[in-house]
Parts: sequence; structure tokens; C-alpha cells
Amino acid sequence: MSRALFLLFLGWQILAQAQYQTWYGVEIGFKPVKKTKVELGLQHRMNGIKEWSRSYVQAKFHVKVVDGVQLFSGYRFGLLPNSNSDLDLNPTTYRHRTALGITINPTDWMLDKTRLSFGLTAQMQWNRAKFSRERTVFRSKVNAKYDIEHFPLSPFISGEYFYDFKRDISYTEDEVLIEGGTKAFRWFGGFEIELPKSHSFQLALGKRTAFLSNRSYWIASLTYQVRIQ
Amino acid sequence: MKSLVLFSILFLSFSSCKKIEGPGGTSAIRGVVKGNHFKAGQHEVLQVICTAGGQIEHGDYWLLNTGNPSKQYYIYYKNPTWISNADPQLQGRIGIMVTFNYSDSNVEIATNTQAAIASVVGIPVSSMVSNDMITITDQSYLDVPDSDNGTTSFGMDVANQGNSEESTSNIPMAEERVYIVYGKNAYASDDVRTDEAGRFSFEGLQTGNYKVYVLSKDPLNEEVYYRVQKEVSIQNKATIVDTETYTINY
Repeated sequence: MSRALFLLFLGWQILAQAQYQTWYGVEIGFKPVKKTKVELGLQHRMNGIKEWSRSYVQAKFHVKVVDGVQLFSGYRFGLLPNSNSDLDLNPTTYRHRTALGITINPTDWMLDKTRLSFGLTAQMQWNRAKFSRERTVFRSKVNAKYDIEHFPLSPFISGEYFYDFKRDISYTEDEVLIEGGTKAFRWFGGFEIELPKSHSFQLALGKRTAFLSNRSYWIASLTYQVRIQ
Repeated sequence: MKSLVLFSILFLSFSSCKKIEGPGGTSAIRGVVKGNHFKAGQHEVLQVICTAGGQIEHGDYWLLNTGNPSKQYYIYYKNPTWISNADPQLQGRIGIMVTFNYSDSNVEIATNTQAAIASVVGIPVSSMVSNDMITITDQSYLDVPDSDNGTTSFGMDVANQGNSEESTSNIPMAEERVYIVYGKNAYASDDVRTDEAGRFSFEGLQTGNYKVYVLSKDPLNEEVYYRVQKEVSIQNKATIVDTETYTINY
């Protein structure tokens, strides 16, 4: 316990001295039909702990194709401060994101139940916003989680890669060149705190490293999850 | 699988976000600004304030310069009671003699001097007198070397500096500000400056309609500006729309 407290203290010390965001979220997951799963969520992101960054409402729909393979689609509506408020006189603007992807869990193919889960996710997403360039981003994520026996904490880690298909735009003499490239890396480490009756908290510390820009920041994330069986 | 497709289509259509004119796109509007300029030439105007005859000595003179290099003058004053030659005989200049008496008033000196100047055939100036002040207007549009009061105590003042006519046309306008109006907005939303060749480029625009304008000086009143404006429509993403050349007065 003292180690956990020390790590927590260390994490906050790092955040206090760096650019960071704090994310607060609520997620509800349920299975409407066999082999399907729906996740609904709210997320509130802050720059530091005082300045509002953005808020999201999101929905994700999963379909199990075969054991260990799921397809999913997702939608996210975001509300954020409007940096072009001089153009439309609105202090906030909105952002839409749709996504399609696949999740592969090789541990599901093992015959014996294992406490280690390991997943690969690939996702295409399309972002649209009022005064921002449309973005098409490919994300691939690797994550691992271990459910410790007779212990309420389940540690996990994840690493994610972002590729933006419209990252670089060059206006040459007679044409517009659009080129893709690595946009960012993001990793998280944390643990899930299991609560009774399918409730849990997920506490994570991560870092988003933007490629070719200095907009890198740390992330402290707290999510409350409910899974209705 | 059907439900997944249905769900995806639903989300995709729901998320269609209305794009409006402005930043956040991949297209560009480009153009060139050229300028015309005309400034009429100015005649040099000299004002000479004469003294009374009592303050002039026999043989005093002053220098009158004109825009014609071969016609430079000196005006000298001769008192008939003196028998010596009053003409200083300056080389390269034409002498104009004015007869005076010590009793002449400053107005008489001015009147006689102007009459003597006006009587010279082919002199490239026009002149008029008002009280003791002679106004001499050079016929050229040149910056004439200043005249000099020589040995007199006359006051000399260039009331208007002569200038040659200035005229340029269709030269690239560097550092000119170009404005863009998004969609149906009434006022400019952004602006850029032209480069050394008069070129400008608005980049990162969404499809839609824009108005692009440059300010031009009114040729009849340099304090007044008006818009030279063109309407531009971007039809497709990732395209460059070239406008016609903007021609302004500056």
C-alpha cells in the first residue's frame, strides 16, 4: 500500500511540473443482444485541473465475429472552446468523430482461462469540426491487463500509435499536396479498482507525445465503469 | 453484421457536420495585385517681397533661376542719377534692368520689377504683383534651384516646390494587404500581405464562397479608398483557385 501511495505521489509530482490534462469519465457497458456489446460514455477533459479543455459523449457498438475477434463502430460528440469565436460568435464549438475498428484478443483463443488479457486494436476514425481540417486517423493499440487473484487492483498498460492521413499539407506553385504521417504516440499505465456488483474505477497515468509538434502532455485519468451483465 | 453496418451508417450520417466558409479546409485562393500611380507635376512658385527704394543701392541685384538651364536671370537696379554702370554683368545669366529712385516705395519697386520681368521676351516664367510681393511661377514641372536675393534685402520664399510628373502602371504591389470575407459575412475575416511580386495566397480554406478585396486610392481624392473586390468560389477540396489580377491606384 505504501508503494502505491508513493507511486501516486510521484505521479502527481510529475504532473505538477509538466503540461498535463486530467480526464474524468463515466462508462456504462451492456449487452443488448447475444454477441454484441454497447458502451456509452461521458468524458470531461481539463487542462491541468482548472481549465476546461473539452467534453465528450460517446457510444461504441461491438460485435463478436469469432472467439477473440470483435468488430466495432463508434461515435463521439465533443464540445470544446471555440478558437474561432470571432467568426461565428460562439464561445464553444463541436466536433464529431466516427470510427470503425477491430479488436483481437489472442488470450481468448487459449483453452485455459487466464488472468492475463492481451489485446490488439486497430481503428480508423474520421473527425469533423467546424473550423478545423477534417482528419482521417488510423490508430493501433496494444494493451495488457492482469487480474490479480483475491486482490481488488488489476494493473494494465497500453501503448497506442496514431497515423494521420492528412498530417502535412503543402501548397505548392500549382497544387495542394496532402501527405500522411505519424501524428502521436500515447501510452497509459494504471490499475482498475474492482468494486462490488460490476462497478469499478479505472485510474491511469499516461502521456501523449505528439510527433513533429511540441504539444505533448501528461494525462491523469479517472473513469467510473459499470458493466451490466 | 447487419446491425453493425446499420449502426455505422446511422452514426456516419448523424455526424455529418455542416462545413461553412472559413478556415479548416485544404483549398487556397491566390492572386496578384498590380498598381497604377499618377501624380501631376507641380510648378515651382517663388514669392519675392521687395523693399523700398531707399534700401536699394545702384547696382544691387538678385538672381532668378528657372527650369530652363539656358535661361537664368539676374535682376539689377539702376538709379539714373548715378553715371556708373549698374549691370554686374554676371556670366551665364541674362540681365534684367529695373530703374528706381530712392524715393520709390516698396510697392513701386515691386510693380516696376514685375513689369521688367514680364517684358522680357521668352522668359519661362509668369509673374504677377500684389502690393510689394511679386509671385513668379516657373513654367516647367521641375524642382528649380532656389533663387537668391543677391545684394538686395528682398525676402525670397519658395511657396510651392516644383515637381516632375510621376506615372507608373501595372507594377507588382509588394507588401499590399489583401482581405478575405468568408461566405455572407459583411466584413473581412482575415488578411494577408503580398510578396515582392505582388502575389498573395489564402490557404487552409474550406469549400464555399468568398470575397477577396484590396483597397485602392481614389484617383480624384487620395484620402479616400475604395474596394477592388472579386468573388471567388471554391468548389472542391484541395484545390487552388486563381483570381484575376487586382489593379489598384496607390
